[in-house]
Amino acid sequence: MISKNGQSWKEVGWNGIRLSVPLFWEAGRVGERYILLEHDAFPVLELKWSNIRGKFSTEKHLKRLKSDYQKQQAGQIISPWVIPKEWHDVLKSHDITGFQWTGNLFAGKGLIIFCKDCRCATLLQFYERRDSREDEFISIHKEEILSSFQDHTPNGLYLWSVFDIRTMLPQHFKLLRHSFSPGAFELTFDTGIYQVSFYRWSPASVILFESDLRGFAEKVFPFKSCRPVSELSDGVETMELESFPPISFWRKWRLKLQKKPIFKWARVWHIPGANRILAVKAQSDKPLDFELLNSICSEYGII
Amino acid sequence: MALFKKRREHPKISRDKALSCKPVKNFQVTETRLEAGTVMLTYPAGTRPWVAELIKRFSGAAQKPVTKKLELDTLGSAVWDLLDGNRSVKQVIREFSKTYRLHSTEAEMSVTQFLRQLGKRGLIGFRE
Repeated sequence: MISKNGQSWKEVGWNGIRLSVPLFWEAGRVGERYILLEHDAFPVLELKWSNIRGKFSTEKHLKRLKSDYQKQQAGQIISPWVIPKEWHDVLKSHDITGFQWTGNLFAGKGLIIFCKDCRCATLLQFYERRDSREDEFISIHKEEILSSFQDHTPNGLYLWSVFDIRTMLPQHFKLLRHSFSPGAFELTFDTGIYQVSFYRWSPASVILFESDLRGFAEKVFPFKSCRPVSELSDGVETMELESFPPISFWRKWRLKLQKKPIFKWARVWHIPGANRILAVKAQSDKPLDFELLNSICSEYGII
Repeated sequence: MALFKKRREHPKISRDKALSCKPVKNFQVTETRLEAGTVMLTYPAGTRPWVAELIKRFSGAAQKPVTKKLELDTLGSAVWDLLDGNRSVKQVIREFSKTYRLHSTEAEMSVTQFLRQLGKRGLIGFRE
């Protein structure tokens, strides 16, 4: 949480995109390369992005956007919009084009942002409701939101921060799947060598009412061994689970042929203050790098 | 002809309006507190009119009222306890999220799903 001009802000990061938004804005919908932020059950900011191969044409994208809007949302009118100088200043390293639209319930101002360095094109739209005070707030802080916008990172680490989970991961971690069901979140990444999954369960008080953390961990990750870890945990109750590689040569080859991971490892820990259970699972057919896994676990937390 | 009759469309209401509705418990539902602190709901199960008519014709007597039971889990019981007829869905979500320190979006999804299920079974109704 960051405090700027007496207002609390938070960072949102997802699949390469990173920006600061007011604390009370929440992710309403999250896709592989899509985020819709909401406040009080109304959309406020929408982001959609993609990497561009070859030549990028803003006009072509704007034309496509116009026809998409006309098909999907009847009654919406898109027109070009002159971007204020301040917005150009905060996004001077990007090529930006503005547009505005008016619909039945909402109106909005949008930007097509293209970065020549990382060749990422982002469609960013601020939603506006004429009947609420929120609009004033958004109009005041739009510039600040845009100034925090990042579509690539100089240090090769991407921020993944939505809802209440947060982690920093190397750029080469590719998102395989994600799910945000009530009570259970999961993010799975492919590193090329491993598959790393991040889990978050809540409310921990209810989950751990009938069984302890060990029982829960063994139920979720039915691996061969489960042991409490005290040296790493900093007083936090932590369990580590591991599935040993088979000794038999034939069984090893059978798993390889079935494309099943031979090495499996998981760490589960309980944060009573936040009423959450977190876990990181790694699996691969090659031996795991525990130093990397330790640093991954230390970066993963609750906001 | 009834077969080709246009299906009646449910009136669409905005999310904000839906969240400001007040869930009200069905007065025919009786609740029993179990040892674990959870709630068991007993409610009359409606029979389709043509089934009731068939039973009446074959057995000669009217069908006895059938009751069904539903045991709620800890979280379900917590939401059920918050339904007092005065709290709106939004207020229930806020209270629920505060009690279990849940993320607001997560609390909204779970509470609305649960209330929808209760509504489908006729255990609650909603008033504006």
